[in-house]
Amino acid sequence: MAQAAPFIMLAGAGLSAGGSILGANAQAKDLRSQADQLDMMAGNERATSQRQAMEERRQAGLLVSTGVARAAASGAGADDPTVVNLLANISGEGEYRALTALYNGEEQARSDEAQANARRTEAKNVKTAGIIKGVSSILSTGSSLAGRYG
Amino acid sequence: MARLPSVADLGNRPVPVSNRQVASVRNADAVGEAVSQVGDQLQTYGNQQLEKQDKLDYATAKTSLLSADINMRQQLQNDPDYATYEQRYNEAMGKARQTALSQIKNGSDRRAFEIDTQLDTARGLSEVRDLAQKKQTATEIGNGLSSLDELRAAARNAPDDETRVQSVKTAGQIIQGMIAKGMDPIKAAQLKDEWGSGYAAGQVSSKIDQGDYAGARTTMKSLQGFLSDEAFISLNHQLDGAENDQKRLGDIDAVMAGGRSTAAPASVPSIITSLFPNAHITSLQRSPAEQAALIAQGATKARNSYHLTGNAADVRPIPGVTFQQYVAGLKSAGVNVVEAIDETHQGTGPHWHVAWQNGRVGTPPQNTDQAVSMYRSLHPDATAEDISKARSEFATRFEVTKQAKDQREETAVETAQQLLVNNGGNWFSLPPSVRAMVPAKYHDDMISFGNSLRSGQKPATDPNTYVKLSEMAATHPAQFAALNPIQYRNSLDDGDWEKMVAERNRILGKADSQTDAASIATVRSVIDPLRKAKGLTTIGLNPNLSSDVPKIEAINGRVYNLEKTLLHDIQIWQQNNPGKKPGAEDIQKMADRRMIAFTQGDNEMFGFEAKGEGQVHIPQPDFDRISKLMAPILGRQPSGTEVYAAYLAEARQ
Repeated sequence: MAQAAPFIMLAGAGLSAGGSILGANAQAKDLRSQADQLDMMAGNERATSQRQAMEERRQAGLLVSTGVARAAASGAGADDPTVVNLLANISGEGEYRALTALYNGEEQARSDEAQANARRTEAKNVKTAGIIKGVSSILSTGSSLAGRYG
Repeated sequence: MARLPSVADLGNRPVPVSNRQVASVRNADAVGEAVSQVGDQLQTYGNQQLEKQDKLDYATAKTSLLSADINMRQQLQNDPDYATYEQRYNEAMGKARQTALSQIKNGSDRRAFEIDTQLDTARGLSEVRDLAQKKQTATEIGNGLSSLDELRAAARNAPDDETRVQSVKTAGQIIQGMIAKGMDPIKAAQLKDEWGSGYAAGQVSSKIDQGDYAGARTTMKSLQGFLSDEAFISLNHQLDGAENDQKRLGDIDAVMAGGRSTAAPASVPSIITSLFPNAHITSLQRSPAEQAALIAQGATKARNSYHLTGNAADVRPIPGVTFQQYVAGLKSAGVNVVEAIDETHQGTGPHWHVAWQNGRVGTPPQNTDQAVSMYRSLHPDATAEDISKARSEFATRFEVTKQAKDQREETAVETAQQLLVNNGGNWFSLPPSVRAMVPAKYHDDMISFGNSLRSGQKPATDPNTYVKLSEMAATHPAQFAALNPIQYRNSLDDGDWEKMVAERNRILGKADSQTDAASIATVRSVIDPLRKAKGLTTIGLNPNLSSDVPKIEAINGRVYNLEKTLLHDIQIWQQNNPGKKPGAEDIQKMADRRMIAFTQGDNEMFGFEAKGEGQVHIPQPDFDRISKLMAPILGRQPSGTEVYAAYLAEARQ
């Protein structure tokens, strides 16, 4: 049994290193999955903000149309400077709101993408650390064996 | 006018809000940590290696120091210069420590080593001191032992008892000195005993062995103080025994020589002065001229005086001693007094004249009883044990003498016999010296033997003589062996005589009994019961009666024939079984078949007497068996005699 001890130790070291690497790989995979989800969330954020911008522009246009109609009904012409200024403000406000929606969406998407990149980096780190830990485990066993038989 | 929509109708104005979160890598240190772990492990491994190396260095250094210690102590074990042990050990260990220290690289280990080995070195030094002390003691004791050996060699050949006493005392002083030097007291006591009692006993024993009993007594007395009680008693006993033996042997020698020897002439004057210190010898040996002058003076008339040969002494009457006491004293001292005269009238003045002869008092004894009787007279206070020992010694001496005499006689007879054969049998023409060597009792036999040689007729066996001799050989071998073969040379033919000579040699142990034929004694032991059972015996017949003599001769003739026949059978058996000797069973078988009844004509006799055709009465089963075997070979039924011949031959196979 005593003669088999070094081989058992080496086998244990191999298993430990393998386990460490497999564990790290699994964790890296999970992190990469999280990154992919975040990327997907970023896309969604952008799409949502674009839809919101369009809605803001549509609401502003609808309000301008209402104003034109009401101006016409009241008798004042649509080309009345007051009306024109008013309507121009509404259009400007709508654009502003649309752009604000786009901005917010873009910001959220970029934030998600940044998170996704961080997860990928984490995945890489985990994988590298797993390999190093595996090597470390083998080194530890090797030194122990070297100390005993070297 | 309807109210126109305003910006407020779009609701609360949205504000650009940045929800961006800080995207951080949560395990940024994972790789570093892993690398750090590897580094830690490598560092640990390195530290362990360093630690091990330090331990190894320490152990190597310690081993080197211990090796140096052991080597040095081994060197000292057989080193006689014990005075420098300590110094040399210190020097050697100092060097060894420096060498060992150089092998340790770790500073703290070096300091630990110094402390650790200081104790080892101190312990080693203590042991070296002990060793030196023991060596010194051993050397001094060894010197003491050498001195004792030298003393022993000198003391062994000590010329006198005073030197012996001084030797023992000196040995005692040496041993005392050795004790003071540390010798084991038990060993010292043994040595002292060996030197005291052992030496003294050895010296006394040596003198006893040399036959110097008086010297042994003196030495024993001188060294008595050194002898143990046990040794003293043993030596005394040994000496008493040796002296008794010597005295007994002296007396036995004297008896065998004819009695106690008398004093030699030269010693008589000293015996006179020793016995009688006041004796004044006036005349001893005289020359013929002196004797003639005395005769001329009328002082004496003796012309053949014992004085002329020095065998006489004259002394003046000794005051306080009578003439008879004087003569008796000389006789008891071994002087063979042949003449004793109290002369008061002679011209030489009153004197006692005594003459003596040198020689023996009596004649040598002829046998043991005579010798013992003479021994008793010489040794009246002898004990029964003493007499028994003397008798044994006398018997041995007579036996030895007799054997020597017999051998001489036998050689003389054999020589004369051979010379008779050479000269044609003329006894009287043999040299007188040869004839003189042959004892007279054999002369007639020698002459008869010579005559038979001259006549050319070889002697024939006389059955009476043969039977008498063979019976004697079987029943009284010593008596038979004592006979000289010449005594029966003319009564036996050559073959029978040689057989008797061989039997005699066998009894005397001169023959090789392993290869010799069966002895007469063996044959007789088989046939005697058989012949007696058949009535073939002389018991009851008187050889002195003339009427019985023919009967005895007839029976002896038949016994002779039986024995010869059986010997012939044995001879054939031996031819059939080369190198072997028939045992009693084989002989019995042959004898049985010779003793069966055999009818020839009207006579019934034993098988060994049968001649020619006859009717044998062998056991019927044997008869049938042999007949059945022989019939096909002969082509007819065999005769009774033929069956008998085969029956006999069967026993000789």
